[in-house]
Amino acid sequence: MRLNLAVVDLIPGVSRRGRREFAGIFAVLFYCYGLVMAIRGEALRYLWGAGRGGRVEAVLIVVAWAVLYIGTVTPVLLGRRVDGRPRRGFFRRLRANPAAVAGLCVVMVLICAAILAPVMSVADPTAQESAGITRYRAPSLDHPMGTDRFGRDVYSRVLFGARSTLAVAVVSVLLAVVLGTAVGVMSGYAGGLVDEIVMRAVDGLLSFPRLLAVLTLVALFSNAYPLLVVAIAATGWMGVTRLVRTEVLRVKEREFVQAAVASGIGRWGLIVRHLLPNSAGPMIVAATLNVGGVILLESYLSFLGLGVQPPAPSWGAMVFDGRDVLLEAWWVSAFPALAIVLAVTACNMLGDGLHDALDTRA
Amino acid sequence: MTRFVIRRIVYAIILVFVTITATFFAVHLAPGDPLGRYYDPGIDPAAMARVRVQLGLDRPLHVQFGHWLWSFARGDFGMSIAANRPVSDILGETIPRTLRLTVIAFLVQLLVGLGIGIAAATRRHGLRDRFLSVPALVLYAVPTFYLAYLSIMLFSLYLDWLPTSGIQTIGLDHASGWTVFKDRVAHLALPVLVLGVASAAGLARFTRGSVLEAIGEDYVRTARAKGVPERRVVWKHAFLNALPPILTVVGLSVPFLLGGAVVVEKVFAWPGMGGLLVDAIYARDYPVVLAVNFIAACMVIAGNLLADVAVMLADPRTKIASASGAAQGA
Amino acid sequence: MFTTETSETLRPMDGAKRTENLLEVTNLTCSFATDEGRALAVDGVSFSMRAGETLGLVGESGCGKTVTALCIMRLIQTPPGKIDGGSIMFRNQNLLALSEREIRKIRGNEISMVFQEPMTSLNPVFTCGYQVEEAVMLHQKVGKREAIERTLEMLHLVKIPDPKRVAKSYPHQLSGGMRQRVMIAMALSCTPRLLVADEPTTALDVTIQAQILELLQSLQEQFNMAILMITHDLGIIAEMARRVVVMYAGKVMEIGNVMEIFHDARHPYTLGLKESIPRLATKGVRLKVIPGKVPDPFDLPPGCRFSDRCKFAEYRCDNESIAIREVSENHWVRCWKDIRED
Repeated sequence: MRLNLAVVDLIPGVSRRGRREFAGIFAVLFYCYGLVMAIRGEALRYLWGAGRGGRVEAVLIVVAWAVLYIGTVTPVLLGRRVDGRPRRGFFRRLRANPAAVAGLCVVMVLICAAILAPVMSVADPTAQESAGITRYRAPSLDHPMGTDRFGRDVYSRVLFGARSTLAVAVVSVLLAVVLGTAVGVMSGYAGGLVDEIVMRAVDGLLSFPRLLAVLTLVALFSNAYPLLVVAIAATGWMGVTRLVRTEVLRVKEREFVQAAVASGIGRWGLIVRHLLPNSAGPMIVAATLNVGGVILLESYLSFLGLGVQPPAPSWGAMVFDGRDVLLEAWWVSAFPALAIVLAVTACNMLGDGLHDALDTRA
Repeated sequence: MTRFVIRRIVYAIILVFVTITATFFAVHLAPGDPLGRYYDPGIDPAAMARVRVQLGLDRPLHVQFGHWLWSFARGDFGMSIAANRPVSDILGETIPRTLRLTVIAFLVQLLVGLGIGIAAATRRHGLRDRFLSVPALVLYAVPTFYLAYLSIMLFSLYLDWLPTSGIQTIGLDHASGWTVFKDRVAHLALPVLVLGVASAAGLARFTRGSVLEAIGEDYVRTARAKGVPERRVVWKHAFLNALPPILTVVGLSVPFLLGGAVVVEKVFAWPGMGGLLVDAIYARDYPVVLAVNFIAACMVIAGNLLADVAVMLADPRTKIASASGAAQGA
Repeated sequence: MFTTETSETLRPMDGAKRTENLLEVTNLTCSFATDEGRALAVDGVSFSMRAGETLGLVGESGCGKTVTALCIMRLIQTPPGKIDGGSIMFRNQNLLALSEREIRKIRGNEISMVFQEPMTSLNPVFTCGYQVEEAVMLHQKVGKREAIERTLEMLHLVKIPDPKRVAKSYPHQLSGGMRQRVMIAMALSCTPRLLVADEPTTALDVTIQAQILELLQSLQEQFNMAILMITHDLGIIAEMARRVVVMYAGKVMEIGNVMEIFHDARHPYTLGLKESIPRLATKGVRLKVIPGKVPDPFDLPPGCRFSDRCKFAEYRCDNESIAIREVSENHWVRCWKDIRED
């Protein structure tokens, strides 16, 4: 298969056929955004090595831009027509779905924002300037999203909030996926009584409303960072287990698995080589959708005072802080709320797009 | 049919058992001693040991578990530490309030979610679809409490139509029945709307998807080929087919509704189970925390049970399948 | 371009200047919007049918047979599909000009359709009986009781052994052949003048296929209806049809009586189709296949659509498009082969 690349292809937003390239357009938009923000945060000075010039920051910038480029441009490239015929693959279907591409781009930008937080921010997120003077400043050039009750810069806090929010969401979802997959594969592989018992237990645990369960766990144990993540993961793995088990049961009956068994493959070989890869698709979709759910969950926890602990910024807690000044100082809650909405919507759109593109039932 | 329902009920009882077990072990795995809060340098260790025996804490874990199980089965959830009253009394007060909120919100969710989902699906990619789907997508991602504060802002402070919080205006106890009723409805309106609309967003998205899928099926084409009017094609041929999965999702929405109720009750100072739970967590009032969790789990299980039965009634295929399944199981 | 044969005799009940043709498709063009642009599915298709006759519509999958049928039923979903032009005259009214309400009165009543997939074409949440009843009640002014009677009568007519039981069963409880019988009963319940049968037997076992075809034939005589038989199976055509339309990549390639098509086919594509039928008599002889594949609908060749797979292709075939022309009475071919180069 020839990729048939030209220089034009490497520039996002430009297509040889002159057709709209949604992915590319979004990528360009967000590049512009990143550029503006980087200038704003004196990123260029870091790169040029003049002024304060921190090496760590320079590395962060390069990494973040690489992530943004790879994340947004790769699907565009892989989805391009090859030899005049459209590719009928996963990436093509993903690219054809503008909502999914938009979601992907927003997710990429959020990841970059989290990586670049120290570079792009304009102030220390926890630094309280002389509160009497700078509290509740409206958005301005100095404070792009205004300041809060303690005179802290909301823009910087939103950036750093992306760090703590994503750290909680991504890590807990990863944990949940690993645990859920392990249990699901075991249960589906073992079958019989083991499967029955495990699945009844899973159903029972699923009966606890998740928010209530996390609150209880956090109350019983602790809401320090690692335990918070564990509590969220502990209430989120059951869905993955169900999904993976269904896939394993389905795949187990397929001819190629029976062929593998007939040719004497070992138990672990079967699980690692056949059962796991074939349930990867639904797992990825579930994980993506879950990240959005956990971001919301974390915001509720913060709202109830049991999320990420202050003074570390968290989007949920920031929205909560602005509740009394919704009219007078709307920016205190509106920007973090917008960040939550963007992040969750992006995860949902990307998850739906992945679901359609993976076309798991076909 | 009856067989199926009985099967499901047995299954639900097993689930309740699992939830009790989970609650029990959550308590016993937690760090600290259940009597930890009574520790006092001045207290006599012998008295402490007596209390321990009295409460059965000296016995092996499985015996304690048996006791715990038995008392839960009788509806005895122990004593609240903070309020120093039986937990069941407290629950008796708060559960009806939460039910009032969640049941009406549930109906709002059904109405709005199904309505928007179907309306969007029938005009796929049209203007109407965009006007309905995009807000649904965004609403799905807005934290409920922010939505609640915004609606208080709009309806209570700016328009001054509805009260901001509480269940009833203070000092209204001696007013006439009608005034009290009106007052209560006014207090109920905002929390119900926020909770209902927030949960409807997800349902609307799912409904749109499954109705669209059904509209693309061959039998819908057959119906059109028969000359069935479009409205009837959508409502009868497509929607009735999309209904079983939608009902399942409606059943699954109960835990989210209860979770949302915790948040909404806090915002609107609604004295229900959610507020009770949050207060109990801050007060480390474990018997209440566990009882609320248990009751919530029971509501979820009941919701799923109802959804299962509804799905069976709606789908002739499961009717047959479950009947034969039950026969095999027997 | 191709014009339909003119009438010899007029039916007395019709007006003066009317054709006797039941259906006249002229220049029908239909395209679909896709990610890659508009795909032409049907491109200038013309043919006609008389009352009571069976016309075979043959071609590979994707050649536009089904789309043509859906155009006649006005069942093309817009978007993504769109009928770009042409006319479909049915009993001297243009179906394409009718309002949605008017076409609904014709669908299932005067023109019915039987689909390829009996497994998915019946609605799983209604009983088979109800689905037939619905068709009856929609088009005939009858009460519920009469509709049920009519349903049982129809189910009996399509040779379902136990009509009462079948009427009460749900589709998933029946076999594919039974379901297709129910579909036929539904389609014929209002005694249509035209039945569009879109590969009605493809999804069925061979023995069931024969039964269904036989059933269609006997019912056709009984009701005096025309059948548009869409298939890729020339065997079915030989058995059922009087005339044949051969389609390729959205265009009509050859039209003729079934005898002429089988014994005197002019178009290389028709010849290729015929040669690729397996025969018992020629066991041991390698089956011939048509080399190459159907052209990309976004990238159609400028000349004859079949040119890159045709063994007779010459320069003009690749570059000049060709009109369909009459080679003998009622036999039309779209090919350069027998035309001398000037």
